[in-house]
Amino acid sequence: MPISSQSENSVSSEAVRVRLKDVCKSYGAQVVLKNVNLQVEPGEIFAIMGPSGSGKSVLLRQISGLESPDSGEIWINDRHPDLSRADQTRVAMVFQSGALLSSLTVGENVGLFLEEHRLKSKKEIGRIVSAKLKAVGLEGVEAKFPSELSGGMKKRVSIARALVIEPQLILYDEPTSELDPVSAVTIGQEICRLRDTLAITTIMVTHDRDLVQGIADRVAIIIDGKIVAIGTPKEIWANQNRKIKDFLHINFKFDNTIL
Amino acid sequence: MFRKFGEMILLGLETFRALPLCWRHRKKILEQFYVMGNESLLMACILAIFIGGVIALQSGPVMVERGIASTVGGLVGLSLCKELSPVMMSVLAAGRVGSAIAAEIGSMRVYQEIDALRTMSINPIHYLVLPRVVAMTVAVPMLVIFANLFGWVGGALVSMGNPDINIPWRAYFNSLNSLVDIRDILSGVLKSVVFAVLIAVVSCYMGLQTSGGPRGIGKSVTQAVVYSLVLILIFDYLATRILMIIL
Repeated sequence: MPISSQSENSVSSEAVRVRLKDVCKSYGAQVVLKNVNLQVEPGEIFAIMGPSGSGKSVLLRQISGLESPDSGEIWINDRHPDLSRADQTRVAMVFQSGALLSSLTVGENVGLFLEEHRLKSKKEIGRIVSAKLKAVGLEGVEAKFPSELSGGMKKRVSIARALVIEPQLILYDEPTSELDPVSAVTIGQEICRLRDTLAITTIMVTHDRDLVQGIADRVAIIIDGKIVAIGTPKEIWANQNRKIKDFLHINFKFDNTIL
Repeated sequence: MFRKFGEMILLGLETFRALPLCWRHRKKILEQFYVMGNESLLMACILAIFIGGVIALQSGPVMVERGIASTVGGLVGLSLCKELSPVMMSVLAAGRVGSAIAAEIGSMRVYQEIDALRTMSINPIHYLVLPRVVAMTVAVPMLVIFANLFGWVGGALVSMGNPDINIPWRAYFNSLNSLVDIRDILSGVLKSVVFAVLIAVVSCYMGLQTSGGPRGIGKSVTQAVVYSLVLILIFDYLATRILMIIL
């Protein structure tokens, strides 16, 4: 089991391929995902963009295993997502809000997976937690509570918590939302560095056009629950589809009118 | 509504199945137990003193008038241990602890903390529900025992101090001792175990079902308290009937 051999500077042994075939999801009468087909290659940084309410986060929840599709199939290598087994959990998710447990300290949050599954001794967990926090540029914050951290720090703690799982796949839900431009760039660099050093397959849902153009290998545009385009950022930005152009090239002028 | 009750029963059963994991989660159980005791014990004692006092105040003069003043202690003792302590302590637990459980778990639900647990293959029922149900099941009966003791003392103080009753301390407790049987105390304690499970499961369920932000949390808290109170009163009758047969 990969987790049991975890060391502070461990490297993900293999990135995974993610495949979605005809995935559909509805909530009552509202159809959110319509026949989504997608393939994300091992080690790739794949961005999913689209207007609010287009189904991006719902798609991420299907891939993570938090929800199951009504129809269609999701494969992470040769397995379906399964959250019920700790020894199969190699999929980590970084939530938009960080989703750190407010009653636990930063250190307890980061070490929670190892602690709850009894995978390491307390001493080893402490060492791993410090190493993972150091890996995301946060040192000496183990004893703080999430409420004492800034938004950017919370996101980085959340990334550190995800790294403890030794993920083969990391899912980011709006990794740079609510962050100032400097923190957003730092998080972007962090995502890139993790992929380069740990060879983790990365899927991120974002509205951040700079982030996507800066670090994504490929982008999918999802509108009204359907994927309307997939390609490199360059290809997507050159796409002439009216809806995509409207979404990607919209801008504010200083007199507050929308171009 | 029936669907909700069905889901609550399922949650209760799943928690029951997780009972062998209690030792593993003992730290969280003790934390919850401490929080519940800390939040409720003082209030429970104050409440019990006044309940005991009021029963003595209402019944004492009437009983003196009819020449059965010597049974005031027994009346206060029986009323408290068989009915008032378990029900009032459960109402207190539903209001103070149950609402806090629903708010905490509801907030964790809204802010995706429970999703984060699930992505780490941590079962929220084992991590959140089990410790609260177990702690509540131990804490409420203990509150009931404290309430009995303080309620009896409250009744005694009023019986002694009120000139219309004026029963000596010793006579009051002699009457209490002769009328209150260990089975009466046990009956109240057992009822409170049932109420505690109900409150904890209902509150955890409402928390886990929360959606829609802060407004949703408020709604869950209200529902947790209302459902708990209704179920306490329904199960009070049922449990009393069953215990009358058994004990």
